[in-house]
Amino acid sequence: MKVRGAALPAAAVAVRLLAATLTASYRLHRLEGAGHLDRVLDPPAMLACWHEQLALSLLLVRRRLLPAGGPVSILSSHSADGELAARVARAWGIRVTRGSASRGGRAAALTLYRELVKHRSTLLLMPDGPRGPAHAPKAGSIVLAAMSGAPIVPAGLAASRSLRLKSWDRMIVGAPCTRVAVAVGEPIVLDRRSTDGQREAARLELGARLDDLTARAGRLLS
Amino acid sequence: MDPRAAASRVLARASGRDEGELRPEFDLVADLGIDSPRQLELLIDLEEALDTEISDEDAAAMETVGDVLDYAAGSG
Repeated sequence: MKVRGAALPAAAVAVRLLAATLTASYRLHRLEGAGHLDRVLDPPAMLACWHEQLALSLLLVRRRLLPAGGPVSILSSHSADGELAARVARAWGIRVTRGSASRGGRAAALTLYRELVKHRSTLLLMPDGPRGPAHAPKAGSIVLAAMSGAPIVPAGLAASRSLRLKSWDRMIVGAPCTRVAVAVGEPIVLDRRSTDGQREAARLELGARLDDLTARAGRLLS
Repeated sequence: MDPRAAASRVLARASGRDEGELRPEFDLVADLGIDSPRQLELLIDLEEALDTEISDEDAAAMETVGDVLDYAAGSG
């Protein structure tokens, strides 16, 4: 048991390094909507994509967000998948908040709000995360936008060569040196005076834009 | 403003009730219908009204009107 216990941290480090190296090899093939992406570089702001595209989105973090100099934050669940994502994200210099709807969700969302407003952070937002259901934006994302005034900039990403994990989101993992296409859409902006109806409409609109942008990114590869 | 009074005002706004209607034993979800997104809104409003940062443990422990008012009273 001692041998196994000692081996686990080493395995975790190896997986983290492998994941960080893999995501570092992704190449930006095409970027549509670069003007909208610029809005993310003026925090507080949120860059949103489906959770399945988390690994691919690290390319944008590396190429566009981190070079801008401001802090970048992400929410990660307490699950094993979330732990791996958190380790990779921290290796990239991303600030990680742990939590999910079922465990510490209120506190985690409150921390994300502080990241946006007090630390003027750019939040890498997966509105169907951290634990799904896939492709269903959660209302909490919209509350964050309304309370902080930070725009949600939607994006879709696709890889030329990839596989999907057997996780709840069927996460896309690009092959080494894969080409990644990105389509970025118009920001969704709310304020504190927004009504329940406006917020629900924004939630549905965010989901529709992410689906549309994901399809557009796929077409950019062909 | 007295912290409890400030918290009471925040609770009234989050629940859509008059302050006088709020009873300490009321559950935020079951009795006042403050769902998860509104709880986030409540916590943000509460932090700003009390000019404080609510810890993860305190945020998780707030289940009733009394919990929120007691937290406010202790934050002053």
